[in-house]
Amino acid sequence: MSGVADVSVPGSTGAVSDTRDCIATFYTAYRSRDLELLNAILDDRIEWFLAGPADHFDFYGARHGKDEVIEVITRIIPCYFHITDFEFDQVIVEGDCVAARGRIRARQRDTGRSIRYGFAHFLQFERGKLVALRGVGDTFDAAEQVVGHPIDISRAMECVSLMPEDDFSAV
Amino acid sequence: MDLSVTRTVVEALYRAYAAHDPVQIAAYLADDIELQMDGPVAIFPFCGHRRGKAAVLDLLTRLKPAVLPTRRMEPEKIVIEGDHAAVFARTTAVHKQSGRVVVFHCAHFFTFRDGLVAVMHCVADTFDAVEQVVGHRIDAYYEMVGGNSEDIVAI
Repeated sequence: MSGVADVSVPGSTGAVSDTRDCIATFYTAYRSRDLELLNAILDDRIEWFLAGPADHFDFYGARHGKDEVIEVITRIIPCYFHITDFEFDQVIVEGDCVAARGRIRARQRDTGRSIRYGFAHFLQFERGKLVALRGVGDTFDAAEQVVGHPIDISRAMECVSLMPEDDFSAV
Repeated sequence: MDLSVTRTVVEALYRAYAAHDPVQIAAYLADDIELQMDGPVAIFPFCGHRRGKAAVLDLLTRLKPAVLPTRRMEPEKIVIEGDHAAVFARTTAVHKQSGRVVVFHCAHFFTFRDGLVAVMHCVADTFDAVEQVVGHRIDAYYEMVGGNSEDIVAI
């Protein structure tokens, strides 16, 4: 076995073959946002972490448990873009552990613009269920494609106070 | 399961990488190594593609340390299959120009050939790294008009 990119190809040994089946099911569920498939492949206690600017795009960050992960896949990510495909350049399988690298293809929700950016996922399966995912991507590239223009890094985000200053001083 | 590349090798490679030591790093690189570092080249000029041992050594031991020298790399997950290895890590670096400490997540994918790294691909949380380098939260949604406001006034 080698780090092949086609996750749908079964491996030569039972354990790896099972894992490759799990990988294929997970990414099909992720892309299609199919509730039945997601329910089948995600473990109830899944730990999920996507490294990225959660202040801007709230699908980044940590999620705990199946309900939170299903929410991020089916409701939060589609607020920004619809994933149309995962392109794999490298998939490494060691028992129940997987490292996958490639590009996410998506369509920006408001404009329909094509988005394509690099990602890496580290997955862990147990008894045919995904129990952990840690992901990282070229988030600056992704952010520029989502907002649709070059990002001016000198421009600081303004903090908006939820309470008028008068009220605040009166506390 | 046959693990052609061992964890010991991957961990030693990581230590050499973090040390920016050309002698240590050179011992792991194939002559025709291909390296791809995803990221904004305008901000991190060391990002992009390099080919060949000399170019990759120059990148890892001179170009990158001149901008963002690595202080520590903490592997959180290592996956190995045959001649392929991947590491999910937390990197601590220092932005040379400002002295700011920058901590971000990254992933490295290696393909080994005859015990040497033939292909290396780096993916990092670049938005987080850039925000820490500039020292403030970036307003991603702010759009520059024409790239220079003075030009607009002059019209």
